[in-house]
Amino acid sequence: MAKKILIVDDEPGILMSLDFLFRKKGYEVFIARDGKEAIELLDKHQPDLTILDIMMPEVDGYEVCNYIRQTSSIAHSGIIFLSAKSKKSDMEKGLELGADAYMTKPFSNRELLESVGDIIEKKSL
Amino acid sequence: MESSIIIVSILYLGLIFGLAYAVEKGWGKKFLTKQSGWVYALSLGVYCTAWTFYGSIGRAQMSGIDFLAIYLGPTVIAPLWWIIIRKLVRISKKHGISSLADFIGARYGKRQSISALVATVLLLGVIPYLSLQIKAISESLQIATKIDVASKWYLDPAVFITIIMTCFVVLFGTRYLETNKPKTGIVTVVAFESVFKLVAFLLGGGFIVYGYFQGPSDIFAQASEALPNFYENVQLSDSGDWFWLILISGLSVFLLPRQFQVAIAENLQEQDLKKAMWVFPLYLLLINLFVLPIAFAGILTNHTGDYTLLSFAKENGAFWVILIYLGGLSAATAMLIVSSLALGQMLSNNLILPTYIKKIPSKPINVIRLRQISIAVVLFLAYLYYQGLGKNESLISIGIVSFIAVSQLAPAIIIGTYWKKASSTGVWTGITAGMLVWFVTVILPSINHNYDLNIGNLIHLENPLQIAGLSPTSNAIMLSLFCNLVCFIGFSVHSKPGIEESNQAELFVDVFKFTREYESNLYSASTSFPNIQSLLFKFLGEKRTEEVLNRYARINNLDWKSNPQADSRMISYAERLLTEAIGPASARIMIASVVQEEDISINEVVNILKESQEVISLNRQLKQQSEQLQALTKDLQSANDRLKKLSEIKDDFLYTVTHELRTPLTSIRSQAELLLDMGSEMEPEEEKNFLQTMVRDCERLTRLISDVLDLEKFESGNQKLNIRKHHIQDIIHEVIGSMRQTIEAKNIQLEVNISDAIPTTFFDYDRMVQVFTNLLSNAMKFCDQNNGRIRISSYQVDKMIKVNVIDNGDGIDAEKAVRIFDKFYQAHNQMRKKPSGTGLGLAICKNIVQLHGGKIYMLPEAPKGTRFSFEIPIYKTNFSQHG
Repeated sequence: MAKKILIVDDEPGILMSLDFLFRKKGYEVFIARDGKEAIELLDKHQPDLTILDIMMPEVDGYEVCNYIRQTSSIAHSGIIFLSAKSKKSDMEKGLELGADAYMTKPFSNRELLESVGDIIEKKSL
Repeated sequence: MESSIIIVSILYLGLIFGLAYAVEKGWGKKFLTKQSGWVYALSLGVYCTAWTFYGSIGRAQMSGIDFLAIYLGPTVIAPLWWIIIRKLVRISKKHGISSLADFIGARYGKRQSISALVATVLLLGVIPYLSLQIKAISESLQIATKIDVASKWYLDPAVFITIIMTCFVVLFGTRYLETNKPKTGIVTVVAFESVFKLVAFLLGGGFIVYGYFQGPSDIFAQASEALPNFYENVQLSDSGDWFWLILISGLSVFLLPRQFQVAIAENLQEQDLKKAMWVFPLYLLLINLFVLPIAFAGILTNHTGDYTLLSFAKENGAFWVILIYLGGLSAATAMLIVSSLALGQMLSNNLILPTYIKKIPSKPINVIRLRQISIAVVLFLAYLYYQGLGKNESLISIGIVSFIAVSQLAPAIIIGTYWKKASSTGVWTGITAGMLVWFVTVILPSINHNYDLNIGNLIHLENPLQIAGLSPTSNAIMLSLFCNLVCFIGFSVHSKPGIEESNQAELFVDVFKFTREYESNLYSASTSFPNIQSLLFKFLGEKRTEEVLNRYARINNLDWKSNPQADSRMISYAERLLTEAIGPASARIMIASVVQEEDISINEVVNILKESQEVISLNRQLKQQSEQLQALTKDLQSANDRLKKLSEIKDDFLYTVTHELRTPLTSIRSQAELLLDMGSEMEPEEEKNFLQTMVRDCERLTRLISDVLDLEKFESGNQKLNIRKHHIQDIIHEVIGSMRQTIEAKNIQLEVNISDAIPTTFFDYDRMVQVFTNLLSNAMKFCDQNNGRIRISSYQVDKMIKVNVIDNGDGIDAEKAVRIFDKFYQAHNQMRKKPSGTGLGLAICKNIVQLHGGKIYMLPEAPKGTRFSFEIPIYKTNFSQHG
């Protein structure tokens, strides 16, 4: 059964390319344009991994991350922050909140793909 | 009536005794210290004697407003007090001086002869003036009570008043050996009497002016009808007396012994002068307010002469008689108290003591007792003068005789404190010449003939020095001061003063430059300690000598027994103590007699003084430099803080910019990689879609970069505006035109309302297009998505052109409205990511509008929506060319 990935970002261009990338690599992809939508999809589909932007209107990436770690059905799913916030303190904060990886924008498709693969493999062990 | 007046007199005198006693005992100390400025200013009111209280009206009846001259003099000179009197105060405090004779004596080399001369001039000039006050008290009492005093001298109240005043001054004026100790009791009484006489005069005057008549204008109207020579009376006399009287009264205000006493010797702090400078002239104005109306009221109702006020009062019962009589009594007693104190001190210190102590006295001298006797002698002399010569003179005439005499001291004191060359020879000859002229033009005529009481011009008899064409008063003042000045300056220029005198000249003229420590270095002298001790003992008494020497030893950590040598500082200290008791001239002689002085050459003295000046100016420079350094440090600190803040802002800005750049860049990179790696797996449609997005993101990047550069130019001030004359409506129409398609596509309702009356003005056309485009596209973004409505209006407000863009969107909170013009405000406000745009648009708009001298702001619009407005000034010329 294909692994489920939720991509949360408010930038249409990025959503477009990630959607294409992961679909082609055989994942089942869900897309959310903001935190609220992300939480709805999380409840509905319980994805194996979530790629999270941080800066989003109303509910931001940190809150979504918290939500995932506190919801028992998805508490152990993977989380990757994918953000333009590149300060060291931003990255530390993201990892403290329980994310499995923190990648800064602009990112390389290949690295992201590898990282996603690694995390999903680790989680399913 | 008689008995009640006498009882009231005794009660009043009891009151001032009580007040002086209470104050000396410390009563009201807090209040008096706090209000020392008022007490000081009011005590100067001792200037207004019975001459003012009774005499002004009599004089006004005879010669109109001439009486005012002697009040205008002090008023005219009041603004200069801060310069002249403050210097006299500073010198006096520094040198322990408390009388005019000591002051002038000390200035010209601490000479006994000069002090004695000054004391003589003052005694001659002022004792008649004292007798005038006694006369005023006596006469007013006679008028009030009808006691006939001619028959028996012991019935004359003058006797009693002389005795009572003597007691008062002896009791409260000689409590301390040191003449420069503040006499708070006396000063407070004098200030109180100033208030009392003013209140009495104003009440009495008001009663006459508004009781007998309907106010001053009524009096003058009636007088101008009734009196044929009314207008002559209220005009200035053409004798030229005015000028001269103003001059000598301006000088007298600190040269009369009583004035020097209250203004300089009893000054507690220099700051009090500032209050006195306006209070005292005001006091003079108030006390003269009713003089002219009362004078004419008197003429109209047949009350004339010096006691016009009293004769009015007598028609209106005991209350008014007592009030006026007490007012006159307070004016006279205040003058008697202060003058006899000052004169008594000069008589003892400058005339009697010097004849005693040519050498060190063998027995201790009771200086205080001598002073008390002198005070009694002064008052007794005044009484004798009253019994003899003075009875027949009008109140005002002796006053001016006194003024002319004391004004002879003016060159010595005023010029002497500003001109170092002024010498004792100049003083001697100047004062002698002036007094001789005074004697010939003022005194001689009055000995030969009695004054005519009915004529206001006091000096009207021929004398050998009368210059044709001048009034006798002008002649006397001018000639005496002229001879005085010529001799003073002439002999000063041609004399060669000794070392002591040159020293004193330096110390007096440059009083603000020297510190006291250096002055003691002026004498290179030594003596043994027992010599000093026994000298002090002669004048200060055993107890006091012990006390002061022990204090000196304690402060300076000295032991007399092991080291009996007295150094020059010790000698200076002893001289200062003696100065306070017996005056500087006598003190100098006494010290010189026990001290082996080494001759110091004038060069050495000058060097010491120079050194002192240099040290002081060096100190001042150092202080200035350290202050400058402190200020500089502070400036640096704040500049540093500012830079830090700026750098923080810059960091923040850079971070935000890079962040904003990353977003489109991310999208572009990701898609480019996809196209490169997986292009073969894409449908042609997908491929095109990716390429389109990449192009759009590239455009976005370009826009962002050019906005950042724009903003940077504006903020660094490098952006130049291309200013030309334009119509604002052209801008609005052009922008709307270019955006019409989008507006219609979004189905937005557009309402445009531009006033026809807007004039052209100067602005940068393209930049204004940028501003308006920004506002309009914002409005399009934020207006209601379904029923969008945008209203645009423009009109003139005062000298500004105003443009409004109003949308009907959700609106923005007031708290955010303030920050919406900040760079990347939307980006910082993470909860609310903008739909599109760079986040710099409004910041750029703000910069553009501000460069035009205008303002831009945002207000919520009721019921729903936001109003953005900007205003630019209407310029008549191209402002950019004026910088």
